[in-house]
Amino acid sequence: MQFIKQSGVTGIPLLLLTVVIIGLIGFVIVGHRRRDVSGPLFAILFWGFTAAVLGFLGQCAGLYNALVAISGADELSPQVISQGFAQSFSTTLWGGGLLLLAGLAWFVLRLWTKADTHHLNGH
Amino acid sequence: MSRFVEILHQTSERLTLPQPARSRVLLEIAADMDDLFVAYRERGLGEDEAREKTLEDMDLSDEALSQLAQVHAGPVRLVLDRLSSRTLQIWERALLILVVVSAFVAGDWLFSSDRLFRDAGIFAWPVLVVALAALVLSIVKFYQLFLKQDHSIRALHGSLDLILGLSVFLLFLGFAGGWVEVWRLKQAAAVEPLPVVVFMLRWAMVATALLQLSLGLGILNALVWFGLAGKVSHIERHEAEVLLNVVSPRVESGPATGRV
Repeated sequence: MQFIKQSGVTGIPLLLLTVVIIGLIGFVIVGHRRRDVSGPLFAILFWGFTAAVLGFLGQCAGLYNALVAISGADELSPQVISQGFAQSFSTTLWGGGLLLLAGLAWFVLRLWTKADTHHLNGH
Repeated sequence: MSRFVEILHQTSERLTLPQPARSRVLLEIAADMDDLFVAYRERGLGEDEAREKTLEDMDLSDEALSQLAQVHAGPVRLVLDRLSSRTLQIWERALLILVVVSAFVAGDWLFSSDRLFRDAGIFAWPVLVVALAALVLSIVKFYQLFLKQDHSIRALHGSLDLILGLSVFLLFLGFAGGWVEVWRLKQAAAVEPLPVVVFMLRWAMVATALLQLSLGLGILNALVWFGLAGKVSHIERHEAEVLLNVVSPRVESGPATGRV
């Protein structure tokens, strides 16, 4: 919860993207024997990439907003500055983590669904 | 329907390319065949003779087709093709809009764009010029595809790659500008010394503002490319189907200025 709060406005779409990516992974695992899952497989990668871009843009926005606030302040507290910087990195970590998850899932599921289809066709 | 429909059917089956690259290659072959046919007819040859000469001149051997497939099957091209041929479902479109809106709300673009532009330093100007160039190209492409409905095969892909390339260039300008600003601040600090913290803060402000600007405009431009490329991919597939006589031509596909 703390992590979502720290991510500010970008936290909500990042949370939605997390749900979507996990949902798509589940969909591919459950549905690959009944239908063609090449579309949802590519979608995992697409949304993972979107999450990474959003996370990075969120960090730029967070850092910039923090710096604007700092430049207008009379006194600078190192604690406040470090806290602001740490918070801005949470979106990049989240987005990057999602891209990593999506990339790994795409790679593993692609191999797995291919092997499974091959196995089914063989019998 | 093309006069070479049977040959094109056979060629389509022999092409080892995924869609929409297969449709694109097929349309290019059809356009080349038609050009040759017309040229032979203009030289005074009869229809059958012109058709025979065209088929003789066109190299549709397995080797030639495999080379053609290699040209259209580079990893970047395949990913871009896959992306452009992807039709987003309604929930996906809604999610994409939410993502874009939240990115711009987070950056406070609506209320602080003046300040953002000022803080981004001199590199904000080239970023703006490149973004405007991309916008002009996109408007021209939009006019060609949706209003003029010029679906000629050779013009269909024109400037699409450039629009996406400008998005990448915007990103490059954002990063490169950040590093140039370090050098510029260092030069300024040599004349008027600055405390390290102030130096770092000034640089971070310029760099983050510039990245926000370039990345934000780059994303918007990439989204425009996504929409236009999706339309081109759809047209290519439809034109290929018409060419192979799979479906009948539609009125909405516009005047068939392509030689198919």
